[in-house]
Amino acid sequence: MMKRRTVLKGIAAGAGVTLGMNATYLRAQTAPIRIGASYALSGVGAPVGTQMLAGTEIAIHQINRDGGLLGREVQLVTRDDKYNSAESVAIAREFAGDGINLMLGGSQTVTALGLAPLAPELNMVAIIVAAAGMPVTHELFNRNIFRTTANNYTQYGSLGRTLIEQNPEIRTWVSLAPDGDFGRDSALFFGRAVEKYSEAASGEKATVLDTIYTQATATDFRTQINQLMSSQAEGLYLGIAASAQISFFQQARSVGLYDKFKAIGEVGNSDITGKALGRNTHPNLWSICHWLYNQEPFASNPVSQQLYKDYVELKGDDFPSGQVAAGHRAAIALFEGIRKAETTDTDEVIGAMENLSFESAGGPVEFRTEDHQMLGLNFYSQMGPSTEEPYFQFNKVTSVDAVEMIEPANPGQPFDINELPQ
Amino acid sequence: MVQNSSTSIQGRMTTFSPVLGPVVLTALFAFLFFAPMMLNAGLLFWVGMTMIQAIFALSWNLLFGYTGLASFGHAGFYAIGAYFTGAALRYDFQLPFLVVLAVAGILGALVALAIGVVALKRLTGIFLAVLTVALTEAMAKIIGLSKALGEQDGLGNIPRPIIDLGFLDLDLTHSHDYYRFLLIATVVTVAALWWVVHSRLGRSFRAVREDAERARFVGIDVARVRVISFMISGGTAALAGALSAPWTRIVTLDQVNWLASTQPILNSLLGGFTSFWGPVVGAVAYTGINYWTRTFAGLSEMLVGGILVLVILLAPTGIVGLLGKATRRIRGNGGKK
Repeated sequence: MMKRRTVLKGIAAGAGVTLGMNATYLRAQTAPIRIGASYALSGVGAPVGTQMLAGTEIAIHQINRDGGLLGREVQLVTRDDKYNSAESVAIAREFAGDGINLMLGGSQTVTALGLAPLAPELNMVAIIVAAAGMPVTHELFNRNIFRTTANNYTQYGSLGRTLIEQNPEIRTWVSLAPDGDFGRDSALFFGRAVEKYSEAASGEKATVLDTIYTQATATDFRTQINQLMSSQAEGLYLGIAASAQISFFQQARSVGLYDKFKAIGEVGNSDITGKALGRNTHPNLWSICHWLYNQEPFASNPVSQQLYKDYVELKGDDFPSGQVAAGHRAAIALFEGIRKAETTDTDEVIGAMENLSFESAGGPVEFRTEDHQMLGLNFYSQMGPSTEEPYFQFNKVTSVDAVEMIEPANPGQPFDINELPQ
Repeated sequence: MVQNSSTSIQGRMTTFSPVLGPVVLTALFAFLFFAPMMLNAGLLFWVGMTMIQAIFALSWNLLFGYTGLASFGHAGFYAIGAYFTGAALRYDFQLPFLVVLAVAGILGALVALAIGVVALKRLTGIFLAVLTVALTEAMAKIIGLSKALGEQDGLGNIPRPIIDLGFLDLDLTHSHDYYRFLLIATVVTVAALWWVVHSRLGRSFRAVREDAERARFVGIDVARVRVISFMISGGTAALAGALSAPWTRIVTLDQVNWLASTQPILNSLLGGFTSFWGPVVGAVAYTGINYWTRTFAGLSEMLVGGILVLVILLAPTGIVGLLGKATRRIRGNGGKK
């Protein structure tokens, strides 16, 4: 016969263990959800990475203001990947070691390519925020990664389509691009789209001349400008970015290139070029547009309105960069995945995100199940000079649905444009 | 050039007790071997990268600290090893991994030989510096145009190897296993370099560094010695690159530019180029600064830059030189030998 004291001790011990286990369980269920963010915050990638981080921070602020996620506070753990693949690898490993299984990263292709193959090994959901390189959803694809930006084929094909549809009278086009895989590919995608959509736009197939190549960091474009001026083209795709693009425009303008080329599509500098050139901005300059808070359709989008309001409040700046929306959209994608999965478990979140659709500052978006590529509207803005400060203005924003411009899903296989129907 | 360096490398370790060195190294090896059980995965990755950077810096310092030659494009050799190994694993060259590493090192040495033959008569000073920078730039151009090597994006998704030993398969696909392989490879490489610099060959390197004319007068073939030093240095740098490819699982053009070439120089100066262990200490210090400032964007570069300026101004023999001075002072001889 067991003594009463022994029985009581047993019950007390059992209750203690149970309470302890419950306390651990409850702590896990009420502890903050920690999300890692790896952006380029110093070095050459910083101008883009810091803006994306601002968008992500605003998304975290918004979700916590609304009561958190699954009843838990969301915490952001930020690291600087320095625009370097080895750093992005180290950061992902550090996050995994700290028990973080949900992360945003890949603000550039080079860091995304370091991060992507690691995600399965680290049992992590990795949102590729802005890397547009084709390998991410092709030969490097794995089910742990989701890309929340358009890929290069969709982006520059859509830019080409926009340019020819908006300027159907221009019959001959040419590209000036940096001599690298990105430059060659973006010029190729642009040119193929111009050819393809020109017949529908004007009833006649446009001519696309051979691409003229230069260095990505060149400062002297006299040779290329001379080639452009002596060509038959009246439409131009400009694949050089950042300060090199501004140097090009300054040199080109003085020799009459603005009069010769009726329309120019540029790689993505957008307002950076407008701010640098002011009154000297080309009158029909088209750019990839991530977000323009005061232009439709963004101006009437509630997500966009709230993003702008919170940006001004938190950052004290009235003129956000379009890249802010990219960091914001990536964070929302992850939040919605967690909300749908009702857990932060990696496999459950992946499953929930595979056919997820959600509202972003640019309207509704969704993931393609096969290769986790985000689909939605891609926007293109037209700008020109203005008589009022800041002496350039956006005149128009158009959009192209990614569904119409994307290649068929082919995860695990390299992308080859020549295998697509022309 | 360090031909007139007033600080001799030989005998530097006599500052420390002859027993202390092996004890410290054994303890360090034991700690590093069991590190996967103790460290966060992110920190472990940086420990692995530090070992690779230490080999890279030692390879550069063999040339600079021991032979008196400066290479400003050493990243070219590193990239040869990294890209060759990355491609061999990614495209399954059907070569045993140890053979891949050996071929990578030999490729680096052969490229160094080619450069050495071109500049045999003038393999010193600005000629060598310009040639090595040109090598790195040329390699970046070639890789940037090669689709198989990933062009501007880099060669990603590199699998980790399985070493077939005949009676046993050594599976290095898990990061902890590859880390331990990396540790052993580092120990072997460092030991080999130690043996080289303390051998007859190493003494001829130092003779050439101290006074090439006098070395020639006593019968040393100066040009040959310089080429051999350059080959060992290039081959070791390529081996460091080869070891890095399966660790990071991606090789990019970041590793083939002048900035990457400054890394071994920085580590050697920080740790002390006059000591064999200086580059290793410099690599550890550099990683430490980077790691502890990782939450402050841009701070690590400022700190490293500032510390480097201080080291060059106040302690040109680096951290090891400073430690040696402090040890001698504690022993009561006022920092003088």
